[in-house]
Amino acid sequence: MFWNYGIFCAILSGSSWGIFWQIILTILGILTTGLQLSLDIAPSLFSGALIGFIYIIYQKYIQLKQHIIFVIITTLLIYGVTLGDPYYGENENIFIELILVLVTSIFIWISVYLTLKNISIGKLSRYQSEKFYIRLLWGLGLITLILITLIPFYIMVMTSLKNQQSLILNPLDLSLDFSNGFSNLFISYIELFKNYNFHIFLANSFFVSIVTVFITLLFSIPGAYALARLRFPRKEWFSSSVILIYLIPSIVLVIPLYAVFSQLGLRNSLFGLIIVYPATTIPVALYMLRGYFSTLSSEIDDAAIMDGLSRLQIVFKIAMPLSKPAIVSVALYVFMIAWNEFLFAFMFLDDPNLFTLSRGIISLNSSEVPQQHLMAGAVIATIPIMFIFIYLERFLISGLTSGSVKG
Amino acid sequence: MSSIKLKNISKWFGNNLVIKNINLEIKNGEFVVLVGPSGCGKSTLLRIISGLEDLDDGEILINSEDVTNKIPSERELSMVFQSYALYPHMNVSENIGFSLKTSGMDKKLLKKKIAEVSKILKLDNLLNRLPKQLSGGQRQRVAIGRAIIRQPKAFLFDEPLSNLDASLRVEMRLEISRLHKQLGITTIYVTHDQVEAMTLADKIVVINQGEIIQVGSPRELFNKPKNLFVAEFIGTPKMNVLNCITKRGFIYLNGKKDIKTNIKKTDDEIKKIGFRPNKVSICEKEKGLLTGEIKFIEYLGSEQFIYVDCGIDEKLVVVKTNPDYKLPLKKIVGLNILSKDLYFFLKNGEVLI
Repeated sequence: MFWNYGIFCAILSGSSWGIFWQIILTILGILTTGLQLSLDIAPSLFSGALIGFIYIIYQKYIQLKQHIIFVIITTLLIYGVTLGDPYYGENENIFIELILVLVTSIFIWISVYLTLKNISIGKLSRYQSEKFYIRLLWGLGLITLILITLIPFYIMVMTSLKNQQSLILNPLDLSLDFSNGFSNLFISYIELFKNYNFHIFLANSFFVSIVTVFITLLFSIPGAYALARLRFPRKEWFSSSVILIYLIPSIVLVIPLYAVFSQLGLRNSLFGLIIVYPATTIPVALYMLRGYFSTLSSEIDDAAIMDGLSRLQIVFKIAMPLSKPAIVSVALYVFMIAWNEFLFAFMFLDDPNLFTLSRGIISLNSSEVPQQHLMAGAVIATIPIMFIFIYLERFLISGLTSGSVKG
Repeated sequence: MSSIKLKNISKWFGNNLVIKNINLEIKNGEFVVLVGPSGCGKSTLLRIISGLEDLDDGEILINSEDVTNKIPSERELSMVFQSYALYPHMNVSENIGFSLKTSGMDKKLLKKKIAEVSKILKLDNLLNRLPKQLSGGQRQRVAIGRAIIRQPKAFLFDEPLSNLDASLRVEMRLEISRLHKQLGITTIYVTHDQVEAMTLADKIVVINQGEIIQVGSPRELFNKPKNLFVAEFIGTPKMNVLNCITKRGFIYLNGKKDIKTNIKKTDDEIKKIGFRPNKVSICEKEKGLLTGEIKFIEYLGSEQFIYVDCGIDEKLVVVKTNPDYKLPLKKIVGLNILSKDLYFFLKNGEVLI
């Protein structure tokens, strides 16, 4: 079929990379320069397809010099297709436009070159066509994924560093303004801690999350061990019913809980949250840990029993050290749930001194508080999780048990 | 130093009676091997003795003291597992010393003991390694070290060699045998490999379907099997067993036509006849008790096995011969067996004595 031919692959990869980079670089251009650029995919589509076509014909003669020539050809093609005006619109800055087109051309060329390398022009073998499609989809997918995660974060951080005036002037212009001094960039953050009690929110969030992690592990480790190892009546029924709590959306739970907690005086207290959070995290922690415990050899437990350990000692001295990666990932997961939890915090907490971060940020969301403060709050909420994750990531390596049983 | 006595032990798994009323006496210092096909309950029996598995009926006595309701560590037995079951997060010396450390032994004394044990097992240079840095044989030795450091009343081995490769298995078998001679501790050893059983045991206990079939020394079991199961289970290659009937005082073998033999037996109950491959001799086809065509020859260097099709029950008769004896395939040969080497099996599988 036609999709097995190198020439089709060349045109396909050229046009898709053309569209792809045109969209992305235009968006990035708008976000970094603040210029109003128009997005038109046709020029890059045609130029990409053409450059792919040219490449597949002349691919045997590629050297460094040719790379530069190909980039220049792409640039010329883009200018040619758009009749010399790639980003039409008002207030044009021809120099920036030229750089953008050049960057776009470089990216298109590199991508096309890498996906089409060693692909011949005629009918492709199964191996070759597979190689081509995997390269194309891998590249497109990977870059899309990276951008989807990074762009919102980038917007968040950049907005938080701007001042009210420039944001109102052009909310899309995310270029940094150093004219008022470096420390002025962080004015929103200083403001948040000074006037909006963010240090209290931060402390509350840490307190609630850490206690939740602790309580969850306290119950789920012995519980999961029991489910994985011990024999008791109704075990299977019990272990699967624990998960049933996830059938009930928390919005359904929150209303009766609100009523009950009000009566008991648990509403508007962190203690109330510390009761609710583990209740939602223990089931899944139990499930994850149980799965891990049952992969450990039960002969190790038998050996420990022969060596005179009680079941509880086995949990602490044998099972826990061996399942460090699982426990760390469960702890991380529970910490993130508790840290990000919004609904219960929003419903239960009224006193600003008890607000957790997510609740605190929502309290900023009024017309009086500027947008960059909100963004700064979001950054403050995100950064601890990021660092904890990066720090704990090295504990998540598995393979700790290798060598205990037959090898 | 102790004797172990099992009295009327039974164990149910759900609705299955997996251990059926077992009685067994193990003398002080004896090396007892429990052997049987997989799923026969031998491992379960060992776990019952160790206390890892509770029993539904019966008593266990160690040095005539009832330990039936005692927890495993109070029974002062130690066990070596099939998968070694070393603690992966502890190094060799921690693994070996773990039980004594748990019982709160003084650190200096513990260190001395670990040094002693590791010397016996030649683990001196590996004390700081983690289990994953050891080879299979070394891991096995650590597991044994963990067992002997406590100076237990008895060792329990649960198929300890089945994860090792063939040559290492032979080596470790000798090692275990040497240790037993050196330490003289009562040992119960579970295996499905009858070669291990024959080579290691003072006393073999053959178990099938949760019941003890026969107890005896390797020699006894080989030469005087109590029934068809033991006769077929012990010995490689397996005993040749052929269907037969008695007619007018002679044994007839079942073939396309019944083959009359010159063996005289009057007992009508005889249904099967058996003989060991090493007790068969090959002769001219006219002179043989049986005649048949050579189908396969397995040459093993020090011996060779010859498979002869005698046309009986579609079964090949195995003959173990001198390896220098060259025979062509498809040759018709006669087989001779001395009548003293024949075993006669009754309808219920028992051996006729």
